[in-house]
Amino acid sequence: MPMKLSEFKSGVIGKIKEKFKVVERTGNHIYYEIWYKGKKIKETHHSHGSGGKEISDDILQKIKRQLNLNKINQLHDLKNCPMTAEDYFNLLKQKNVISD
Amino acid sequence: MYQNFQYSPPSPWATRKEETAQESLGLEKGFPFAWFDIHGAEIAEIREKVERLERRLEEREKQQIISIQFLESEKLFLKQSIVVSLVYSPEAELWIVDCPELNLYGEGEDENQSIKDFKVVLEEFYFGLKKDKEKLGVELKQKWDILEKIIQEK
Repeated sequence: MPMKLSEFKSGVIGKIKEKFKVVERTGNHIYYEIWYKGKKIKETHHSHGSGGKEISDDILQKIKRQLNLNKINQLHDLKNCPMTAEDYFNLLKQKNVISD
Repeated sequence: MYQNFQYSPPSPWATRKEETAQESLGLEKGFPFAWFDIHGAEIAEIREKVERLERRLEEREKQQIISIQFLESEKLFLKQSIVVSLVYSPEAELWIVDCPELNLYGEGEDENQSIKDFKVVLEEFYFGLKKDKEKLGVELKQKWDILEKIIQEK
């Protein structure tokens, strides 16, 4: 299921911000750097677009991989709440992307 | 011989009545079991999954493996080529260049645009990592190490 750019920013990135520092960088695309304890641990990007523009499933698939999620559904779960920032944190910990 | 042939219609009083197709199925007596469509939804779901898989397979078949030989950049050049996949996404109506090794992708309305976009993303990713190269987590540090091997600044 595609996701609106605005939903991605407020829902997914907004949720990640609850636990991590997120730095937005703008160039030809919009980049989101995810920081934890002074380390840049992840980076994802999407193209510019109006608020109504949607991110297709095929692009979400790449974003999912950049964020170390297992399924596209987890992006929707982050946006729609079943997945908390804490759950995402634990997932990254499980995958040894971060350590306490 | 022909004179001996006589057509005799079935007598209304005959003991054995001729059966219609419906009657022979026993429908006129009322079917003893009610028929529920319990698997209809499952079948529809499986059919949808199969169709999705078929589409993916078709897309996979259309996937091209190409090699990026140079960057159209004023600041960087490639020391060695990068192997990426190029695929058309009918859903997004976009061409997507993907490099899972670097965890990067580019997109565009045609093949050339998507390749150009990938090069831009690669350059921006490079400088994004460079500015924080002392503060990279495990994964991004690995990517930076790869980039240092394949990219050189002009």
